[in-house]
Amino acid sequence: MSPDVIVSSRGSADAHAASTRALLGLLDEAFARVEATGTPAGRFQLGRGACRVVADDAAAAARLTRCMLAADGGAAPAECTLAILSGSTLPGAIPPPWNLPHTSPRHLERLHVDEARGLRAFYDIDRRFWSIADAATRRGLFWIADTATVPFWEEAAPFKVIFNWLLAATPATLVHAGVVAHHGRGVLVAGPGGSGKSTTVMAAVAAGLGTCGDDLVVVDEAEGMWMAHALYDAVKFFPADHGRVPALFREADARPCGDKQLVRYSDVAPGQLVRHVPIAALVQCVISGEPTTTITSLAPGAMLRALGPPTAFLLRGAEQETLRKAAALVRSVPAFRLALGADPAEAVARLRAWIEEGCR
Amino acid sequence: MPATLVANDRIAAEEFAGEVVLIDIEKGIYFSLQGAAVDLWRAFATPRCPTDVLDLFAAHGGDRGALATAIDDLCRHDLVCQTSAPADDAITCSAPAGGFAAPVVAAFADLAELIAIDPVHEVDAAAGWPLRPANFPDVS
Repeated sequence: MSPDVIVSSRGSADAHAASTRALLGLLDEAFARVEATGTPAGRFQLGRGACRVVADDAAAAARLTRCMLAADGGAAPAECTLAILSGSTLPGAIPPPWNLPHTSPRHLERLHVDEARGLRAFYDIDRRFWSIADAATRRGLFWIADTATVPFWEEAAPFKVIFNWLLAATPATLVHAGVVAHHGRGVLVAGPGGSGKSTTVMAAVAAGLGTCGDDLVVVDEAEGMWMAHALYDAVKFFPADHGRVPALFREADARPCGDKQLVRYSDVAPGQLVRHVPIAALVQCVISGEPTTTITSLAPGAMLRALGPPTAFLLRGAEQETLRKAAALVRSVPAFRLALGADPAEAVARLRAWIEEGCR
Repeated sequence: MPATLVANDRIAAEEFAGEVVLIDIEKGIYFSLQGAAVDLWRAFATPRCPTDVLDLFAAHGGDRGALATAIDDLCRHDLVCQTSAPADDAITCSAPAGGFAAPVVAAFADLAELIAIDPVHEVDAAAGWPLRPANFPDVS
């Protein structure tokens, strides 16, 4: 996006469309660079399909995709392509800064959304990276000035915003929730940070149950059945919470991730990261303060409030689609409140029995 | 009360089982509308004169005072906003069986920290990027 393509008028639809064209040009430019000089960095699961990743910096790509789940070698073609481009290795490959005219309130967030085209772009001014997704061509771009400045959260859940934008035009969406899987049934566990979601998922894995992840999973519906799909092979926990973290995780070889520790499920419980599972129930996770765990019915509206807004706030740029899909999920799958007792192992025993009884 | 109001198009909303869930992504606040507030939200899907809406709802048994307070709440939270578009006069109203339930406009700010920890709102609103407000802390 060289300065000569930057439009100067403000507030008009034409100026907004010109910004979209400039960003598509940036996407084309980055893809041309990576396709010419980069190398394949893998093919990773994204919902029912896969995402091919190409990168100009193999080491950075390996670090950024470490917690992604490799596609399972099926015959399904890659459904989208993500390019990782860095200024660390290629002379002159520093991404241009945000310099779009202010034609939308979302530009205050450095977020450009063109819903008609399905193009979304975000620029992080502090770490100098672009996240861009073009639904029409199924291309995503992560272009950073210096891979040494990649934010720590990108290592645990890389490209989450780009993936959600690419999925916005499909029946799928990311949701801010975990999944406990058992007996071929998945229970989607929603709740804000501190609600016990990750602790419950870790305790479930320690007890031999499966999971599709503890924080972000892909969900979609096909032929009347909602499915959860694993996206990230990682869980984070605070060292100070070690009393509630199962030994399986706290004794694992963890990596620092901000204030938290990061462990891959595949390193501590191979085979328990479930790629896909039908969703049998939705639960809102809360810490009750009571000694034992209870599971009770929950009004659908309360479930939507537990699932929709946290996801929309975390993954900005496709709020209406996210909320609409979350509502469709809540309309189709029964909702419950999981009021966690004092002992995570007791909570999981209760959850296991409940799932075996058919989530009733 | 403003002359004409319409639902704010930057608010994500989903009507669901007698409730409307709304998200104001800029403020980091989400909302639940219940009772007659849902009917008000539907009414302001197109530009309406709030006085006309109040008259109609009151004629169908709605509590005028409570409805006026709910409209004020919708305005205060920017869920509806003033518009210069002409008001749609073709208002119809069918009171629910048993009459309108008390309007509820509930705001939830418990997720605002997700916005606060992700500093993307630090630009000068008038100038846009690349200008930050002078008092914005250095987060790099």
